[in-house]
Amino acid sequence: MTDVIDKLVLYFQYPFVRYALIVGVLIALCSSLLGVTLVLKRFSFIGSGLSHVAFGATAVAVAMNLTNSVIFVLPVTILSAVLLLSAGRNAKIKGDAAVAMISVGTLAVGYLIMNMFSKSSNLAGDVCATLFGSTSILTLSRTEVWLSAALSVLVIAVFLLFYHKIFAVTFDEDFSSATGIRAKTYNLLLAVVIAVVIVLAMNLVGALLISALVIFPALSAMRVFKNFKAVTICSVAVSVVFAVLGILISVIAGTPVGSTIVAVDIAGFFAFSLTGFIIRRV
Amino acid sequence: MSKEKNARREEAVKKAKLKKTVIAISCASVAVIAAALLIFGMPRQGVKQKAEGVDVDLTILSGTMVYAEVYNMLSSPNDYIGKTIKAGGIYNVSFYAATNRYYHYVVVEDAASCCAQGLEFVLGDGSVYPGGYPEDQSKIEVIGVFGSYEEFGGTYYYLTVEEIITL
Repeated sequence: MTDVIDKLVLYFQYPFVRYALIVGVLIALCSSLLGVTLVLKRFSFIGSGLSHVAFGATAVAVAMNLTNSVIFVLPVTILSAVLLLSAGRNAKIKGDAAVAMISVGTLAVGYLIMNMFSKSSNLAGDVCATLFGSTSILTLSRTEVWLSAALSVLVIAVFLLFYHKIFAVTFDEDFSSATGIRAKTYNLLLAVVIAVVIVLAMNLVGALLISALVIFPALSAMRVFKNFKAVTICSVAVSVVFAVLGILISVIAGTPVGSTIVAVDIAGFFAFSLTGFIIRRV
Repeated sequence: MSKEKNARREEAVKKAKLKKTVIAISCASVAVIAAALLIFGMPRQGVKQKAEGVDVDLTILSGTMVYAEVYNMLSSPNDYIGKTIKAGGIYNVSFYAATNRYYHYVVVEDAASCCAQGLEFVLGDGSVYPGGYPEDQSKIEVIGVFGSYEEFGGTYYYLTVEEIITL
């Protein structure tokens, strides 16, 4: 155990480890806040679709030689989120088909653009880091840390300020519309927040693993708790603790950061499922 | 009626206590599993100490940490210029016809083995390849001073090393 502590003390001397933990906690917090709403609204897969859009946009930003890709990736992802969530029931291409179409389409086009226009000498590494977040969280610049922190605070503020409205729209959109809540506006707000979280989370777990960060903490909390508030609080706690554990395990054991966090989330889900089973039995 | 109510309330309190206990036990189990993962994830030889006279020792870091530190060295080189670096990895040599010279790299990989990065180095005694250099693709360790040079309008970074240790 002292070896672990010594190693942690050594690694904490590196600023990028401290940055990774700060940003990791903030991203985990934001994604888990949103996760409960997405799971309850049956939009779990939208995170995956939007992350692929973000990957495609990142590829275009790299091809355009943009030093800060977020200024391009964020608006594109927000626009896609708004289009997907506001398409509604009358759209010609419905829900899951639209998500699947955009998801694979942008992934393929993104990879194509990276191959054709990227000037990087390590294309495979760039693609791997963007898709699986192997080390992205450990290679953040100070500007990116501040940007992530600002966006995270924005997401948390939106969730806290509009908690009751989000709660109403999550459970019954038609009823909340009938009671005077502007459901369409809140859906739009949710779309923007989802896009921001996706762009943030790409740094932590990579484009392909974002869905795990959004759904696992929410599903774990739902195994034990049965009301919205308790599930949200538990989901946030679970997500933050597991993200910190994942980052620490990956820097100590030398495993890829993104997949280590997701593996911890999966283990946590099974632990919570077992807990829920025991609680129901007693 | 009130007796029945009291009994029900007591039962509810008992259930809530039990629920809390089970959750606490579950959290403790997760913490134990996490601690076990941290301990068993550690390399068996324990924590290595930084080599003497070295500012940045990449050989004592895990794969993930090495990749991140090398990335920082190449993205913020001014923070490392003049510092003594110890690096380990696979030796790679390549010939570039335009400059008519060989370039030597120690290649470090990240945990996913997809994001390899090469740290260029040169022997400080002026040895010309192959003299003094190991066989291509052999595992090596080098200690050198981080510096830069200009070529074709670009700035490149490299280590000036005194000795190459083949592992």
